[in-house]
Amino acid sequence: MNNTQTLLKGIIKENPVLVLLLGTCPTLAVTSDVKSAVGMAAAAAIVLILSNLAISLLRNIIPDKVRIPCYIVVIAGFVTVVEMLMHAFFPEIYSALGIFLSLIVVNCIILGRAEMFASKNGVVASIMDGIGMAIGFAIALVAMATIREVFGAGAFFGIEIPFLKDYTIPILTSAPGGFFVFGLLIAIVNKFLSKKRKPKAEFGCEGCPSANSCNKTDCEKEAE
Amino acid sequence: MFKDLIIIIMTSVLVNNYVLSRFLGICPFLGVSKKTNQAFGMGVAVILVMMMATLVTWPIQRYVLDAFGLEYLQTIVFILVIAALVQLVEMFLKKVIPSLHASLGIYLPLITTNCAVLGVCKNSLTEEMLTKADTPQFLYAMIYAFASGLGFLLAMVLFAGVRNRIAASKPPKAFEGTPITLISASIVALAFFGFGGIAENLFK
Amino acid sequence: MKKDSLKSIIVLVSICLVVGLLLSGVNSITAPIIEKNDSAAANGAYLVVLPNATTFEDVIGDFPETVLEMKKDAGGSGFAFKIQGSSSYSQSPLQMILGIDNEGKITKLVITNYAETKGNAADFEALFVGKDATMTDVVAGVTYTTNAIKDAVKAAYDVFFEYADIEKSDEQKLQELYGVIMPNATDKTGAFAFEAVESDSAPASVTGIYASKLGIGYIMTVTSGDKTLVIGVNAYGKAYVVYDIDGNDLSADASYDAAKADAEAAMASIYEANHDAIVAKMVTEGIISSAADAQKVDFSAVSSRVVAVYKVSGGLAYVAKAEGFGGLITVCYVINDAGEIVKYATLAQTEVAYENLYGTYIAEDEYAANLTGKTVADVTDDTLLIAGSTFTTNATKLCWNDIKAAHEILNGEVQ
Repeated sequence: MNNTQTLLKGIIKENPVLVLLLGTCPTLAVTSDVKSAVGMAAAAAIVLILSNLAISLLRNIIPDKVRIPCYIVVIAGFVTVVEMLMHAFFPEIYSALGIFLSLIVVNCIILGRAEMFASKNGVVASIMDGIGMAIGFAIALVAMATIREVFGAGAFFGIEIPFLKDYTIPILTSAPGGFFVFGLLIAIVNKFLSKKRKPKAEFGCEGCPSANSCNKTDCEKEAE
Repeated sequence: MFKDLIIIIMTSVLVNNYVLSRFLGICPFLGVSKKTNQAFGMGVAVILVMMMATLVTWPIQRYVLDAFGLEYLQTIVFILVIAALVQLVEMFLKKVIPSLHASLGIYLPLITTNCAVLGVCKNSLTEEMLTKADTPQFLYAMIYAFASGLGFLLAMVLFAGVRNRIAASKPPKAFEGTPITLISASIVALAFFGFGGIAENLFK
Repeated sequence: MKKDSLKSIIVLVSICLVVGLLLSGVNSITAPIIEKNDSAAANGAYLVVLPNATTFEDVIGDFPETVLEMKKDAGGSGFAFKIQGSSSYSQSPLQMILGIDNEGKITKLVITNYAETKGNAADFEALFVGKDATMTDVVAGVTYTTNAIKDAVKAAYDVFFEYADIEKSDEQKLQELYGVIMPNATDKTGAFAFEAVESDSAPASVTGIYASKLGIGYIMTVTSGDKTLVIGVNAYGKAYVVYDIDGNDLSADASYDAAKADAEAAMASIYEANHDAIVAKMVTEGIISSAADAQKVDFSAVSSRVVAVYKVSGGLAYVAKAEGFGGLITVCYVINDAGEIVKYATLAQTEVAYENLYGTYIAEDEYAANLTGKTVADVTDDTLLIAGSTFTTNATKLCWNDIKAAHEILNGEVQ
């Protein structure tokens, strides 16, 4: 697989949110308006690319036994750096994202890419993978946020849309609306992808960073 | 004080439910809610880990990080503590109570990356939490952790019941699987809206 | 196995150390910026109303509900308040930031939370700029919103006067002295009612003349040496008290007699004319048969609603004033030596230009029937409860109380 393919697969075929169903918490929580969604996407992108880079560099040094804690430390470090920089230079977005900014640490996308890709591939490929996944994440977030803000608040990026302002569906900006729009979006993606392949059936262990440490067989046996 | 505690339990379980209104811990909520017994096991494990994590991280933040001006290490320290804690609990259960490990153990590694746990640890240290004057702060934080976990368990178990029904239904092809699950979650979350303002108005 | 574990620990620890160092490095860069941002965000709203302020300090105190915060500029340019309207038209909270400078003038009012018609907020804000505590010219009662803002601003001023701890302006000090010098000079709502008047005949030392709107006297500011005195002159034209602007009673100090004389001279032309007018009215009301029958009695040592006392046949005639519902009322009681009310009449006359003829609103005949023949001790509040209007009833009571007090002083003294 060449670098371009690595980059592109994250955007469409293996979109982390809409296809792999990772990082659902921030996808639901910070998409009530486009501004926060863009902030979150940017923060996650920086962390994703940098941690992919660092981990692929360190992949031969880190012993297999402690790799997960090492990845967590590296990721948490980058998250905190981004958090501090955002607090200092973009205080408005910082307060809009709230606790979800530091919760990027436990975003499955980032740990998942570290475990599944960066720890097995070279630096350039890992960066490409990071960029691709970041764009895929951003597309999903912005799409969600656009639907929720335009129809829920009658605005886009904080700018009011005159006509829609009078016909908003405020529930879309609150929690149930988040679940609903997310479901709708995945259904749309399924519709398009189903022509090429069977849509992903369910949430599962695929892509979950803890899949290896968790006795996957137990998990699936239990599910039977 | 007693009133404060009742209010925090009511709010965390019903009004500000971690899963349904704050969007924390969505992955396990959607991933491990296919069967009621699974959902219950996961929920209990989350309550345990939330309380243990708060028990450890709260004093660390208040008496170590704050005291030495190292607040910026919060995220990194907390996540490591939680990871180590989960690991220890798993090892302990495996050796001492193998039967419990068999039923709960498999969920534990998943909880390390459950943002609800880190979320509880951080939220229990916010200004709002630390200014409830007439309740000992640490007790308040522990009750908060317990209540948040309880809310998670409630959401999991309720939703598992809903999913049992969905399994028997036949939605449009594009909605099969995940989308219909999310739409149902949306309706469950909508139902929880009904609890808005319950705590404030009960104790007016 | 052992070697593996050791290596794992070393790697993990060194990664932790490197990350920790990186974080402390970034923190040392961002921490000061964050701190600055936070304080700027907290003070930004206050800077809008006090643009020259350096840093804001919290003022702690027991504030009313509508005053949420009070800040003091450490640089001394004034005070800022976060206030909240109690009720606005749409019933949603109306929040404002208010700046008041050291002279007590409003520097700026900014409405931060406004639920009503967009665009109106700026109009409201403009109304208040440059006003002082009295908020004159701010039209009251036009809309719910103006009233809500006014009430909140008033509350802020109360807090300002209590906590601001700045030198009060002479004007404020003077206003506070009104109540000390002329406690009876209140209008129907209980507020002190004075207005500035001019006099061509006033000596140069008299810098300000404030006439009681009831017509029961004047408060004058008079310069004496390097001091500004505040002198009360009653309806007899007598300067009965002297205060300095800081509220110290100097009445007993003979060195200010010249200033007293100046104050008495300032409106000298008025007092006699007023008396003549009252006497003329007493003639038309049939209390006396001719002006010569009334002999002026000196009652000038105190501030009172009683503006004139005459010795007439049958006793002493007391004339007093108060503001009723429609305007001023002037009443006259004739009380004999035994303390019996011989006659009662409502005089309504235009002694000063701004007075209106509302005295006839009193049920004069009923009062007269009710009061005549009663003794001073007999008259209770119930006796006076005849008139239909509460303000007027109240005014009648106020007049009676002062007349009773005057009678207690004068009876036996003037025989």
